[in-house]
Amino acid sequence: MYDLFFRQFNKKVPLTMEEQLEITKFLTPKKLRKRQYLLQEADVCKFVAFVEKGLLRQFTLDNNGNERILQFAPEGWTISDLYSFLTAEPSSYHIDALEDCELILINKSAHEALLSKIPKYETYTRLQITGAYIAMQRRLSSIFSATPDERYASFMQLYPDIANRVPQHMIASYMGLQPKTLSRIRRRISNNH
Amino acid sequence: MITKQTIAVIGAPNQTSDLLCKALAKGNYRLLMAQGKQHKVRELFNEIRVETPGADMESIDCCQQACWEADIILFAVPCMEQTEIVYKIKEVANQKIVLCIPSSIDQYMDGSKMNAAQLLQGHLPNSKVVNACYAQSGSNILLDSGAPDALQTVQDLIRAIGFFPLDKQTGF
Repeated sequence: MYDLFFRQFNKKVPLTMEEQLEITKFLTPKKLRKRQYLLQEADVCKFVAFVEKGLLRQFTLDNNGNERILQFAPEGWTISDLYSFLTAEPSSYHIDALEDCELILINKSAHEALLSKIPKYETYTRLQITGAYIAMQRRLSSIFSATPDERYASFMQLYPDIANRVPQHMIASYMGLQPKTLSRIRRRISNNH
Repeated sequence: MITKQTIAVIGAPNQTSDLLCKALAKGNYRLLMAQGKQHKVRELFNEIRVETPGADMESIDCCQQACWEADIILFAVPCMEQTEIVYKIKEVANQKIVLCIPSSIDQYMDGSKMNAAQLLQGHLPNSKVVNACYAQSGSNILLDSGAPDALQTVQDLIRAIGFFPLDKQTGF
């Protein structure tokens, strides 16, 4: 149930068996079916979710009701609205399951308890937040400086597994493009090859 | 709460769990009713289906699967039968709120509605057990728990479905 979570944890910060058992006491296993929401806009995000199995997405709706996808989260990834989680302010995002999911949730009180009880959890959290910050910076740089063709090529190279599991319109939404524009890009790239 | 919460209903229905399930079925909740050996769960399921045709509700054979999906577990299992069920759900109930509804048998035998919840908390040390029972008057539900955050969540839920939560210790 916690295999992948602890494999990922141990890659970043090796744990003893005792520490692993102690951390397990604070984890919430949760199954989510395809199309169910883990979080809806205007609710306070009370957890960080680690994906043991399945695929989720975080998105917002613009004024015209169009979905703007911020993140996909396949196995081994973490997903949450960190801003809402840390400030207890209502979230601006939805998180839903694109496939049947098995998740490990860490709620706010468990997070606080783990931070104070397990120093290695604090290190793990710091590394996770640093990683998330770097990923966000990369994404912003890519939006500002790369062409749509380069962004698509980069997405396909970095996340081939996600590209195979989600429909094209969601990839377009993630990249901030219209589906028709993405189709043109794909045609162009395939013609060039 | 805008995000729909999933509630697993485990065990034999009694007056309090019947009232809560029927009210939950009318709200923004998804009920997973674990069948087990309890034909009364089937009867309650059918009653709710008639009373609230639009209820988001599902009958599920395995109580472990129901609790794995659940955000909150409504546990109405008599003390004498707790051990077997708890063994099945312990791992997936970790850190979850377990709303313990003592059966009338437990109340009669023990003279206290707290005992079933205390016993359950002992069985599920990493879950947040909240004791709940109908106050037999008006719409009051008496609540008690050693987990303040869980108690707050359940108080909000009880209010949201049209009941009045009362602190069992203070009566307010």
